[in-house]
Amino acid sequence: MSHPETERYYTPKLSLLAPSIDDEISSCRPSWERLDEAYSGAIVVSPGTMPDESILFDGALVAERTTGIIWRAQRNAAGVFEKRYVKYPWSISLAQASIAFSNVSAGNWVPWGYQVYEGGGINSASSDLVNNRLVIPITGIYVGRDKISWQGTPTNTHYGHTLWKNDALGTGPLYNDWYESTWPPSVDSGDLSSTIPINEKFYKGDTICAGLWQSSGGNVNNAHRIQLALLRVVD
Amino acid sequence: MARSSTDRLKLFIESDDELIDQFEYNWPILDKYSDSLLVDDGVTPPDSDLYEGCLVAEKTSGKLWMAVKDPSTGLFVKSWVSYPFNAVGYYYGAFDPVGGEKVFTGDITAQRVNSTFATDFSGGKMKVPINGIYHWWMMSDVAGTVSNARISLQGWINGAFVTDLTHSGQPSANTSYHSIETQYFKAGDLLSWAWWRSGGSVSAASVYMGLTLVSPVM
Repeated sequence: MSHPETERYYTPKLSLLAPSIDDEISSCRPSWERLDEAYSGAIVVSPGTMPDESILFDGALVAERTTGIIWRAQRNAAGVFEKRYVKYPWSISLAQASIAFSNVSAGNWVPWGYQVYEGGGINSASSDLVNNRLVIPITGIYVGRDKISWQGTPTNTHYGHTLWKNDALGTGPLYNDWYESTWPPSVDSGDLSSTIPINEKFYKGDTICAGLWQSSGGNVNNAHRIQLALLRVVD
Repeated sequence: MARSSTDRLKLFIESDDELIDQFEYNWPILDKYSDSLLVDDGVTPPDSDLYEGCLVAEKTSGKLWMAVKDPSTGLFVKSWVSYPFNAVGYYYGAFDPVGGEKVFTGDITAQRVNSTFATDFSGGKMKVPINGIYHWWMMSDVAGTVSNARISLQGWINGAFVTDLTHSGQPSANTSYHSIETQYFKAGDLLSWAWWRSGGSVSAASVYMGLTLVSPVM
């Protein structure tokens, strides 16, 4: 905003006065502009936009206008600004319609993925589902659950359900805890389900699906869904 | 040389040169907007006090928001950075699996965090306060013994049965059922519950539903 009658100029965001009638004082204008644009509060940008380096500085907060994502700028060893996320709301729901599972050998784990990006999440997209695997978007601590709903009526059958990471059966206490075996009671032989709680650090690019087996009884249909949300960014 | 300083940060102000004097107007502005604006709980500053990217903190609620402009209207909206929220609704009474969707009769006062039954429940349904990712849990304590039957506790969202939240089992005396989800809800979404039973009878039961905001979005 300029004021010709006084040769004054006010910066657009904070309305800082930057007079221009004196050469030396005029030279302060870039400083006021910089303070106006980048010092106070946060720099607000359209989603996915990287501000020009000329207005960034180490520690600058940058907020995306509609996604809720906030990050701070930090120079790496090469001197290039990188995004270090402060807040990254993210959730997803992936599903697989009821289809037959034919494995009949106890302990013989089979990877069991997802086919449908369901929407309804936040800041996730169908591109997060690749080759029937959920691909983790950024390194962080995630919470959620993977649920299998068995829809057959087998007798004398039990099931195993675990989580697979990077196309390998997990090891360690968390994955052992995720083993779940179900023996259908006689009164309720259909519609059994098992739910694995997920509360774990994943790395960007990790691929996630379930692992299953069932002990006998031929093909049994099941429906499968994972719901996952980012609890904290680890960055 | 006369000197003065700003109220909070004590920024130095020179005042013996006419042109430099004009900078004096800048220091109070910088002083005001360093860090965040502090307001009383629930107060929204007038637009004239805001700018895009301005952080506003409520003094006692723990809420912190950023002023951003809605691209469609050009008006300031609150983009929440921090919003502590917790609510637990309850139902105590007869086990009545008939009639579809049920509602809550009250909430647990001791569990309130920035919530009240009057503002965060609508028609007995839990009302989501802001867009965000929430922990959503349910528990049903069935005070009865049912033979050759199964019951389920169901989650409902905006008047629709959410199949995936069905929790089914065969109850014996005082059987409890739990279900927990972590998912994105929009402001105004209404959460409730229902029972289903395949046979037998149960005298009484209680149902609890908790909602905890994990991460605000906007």
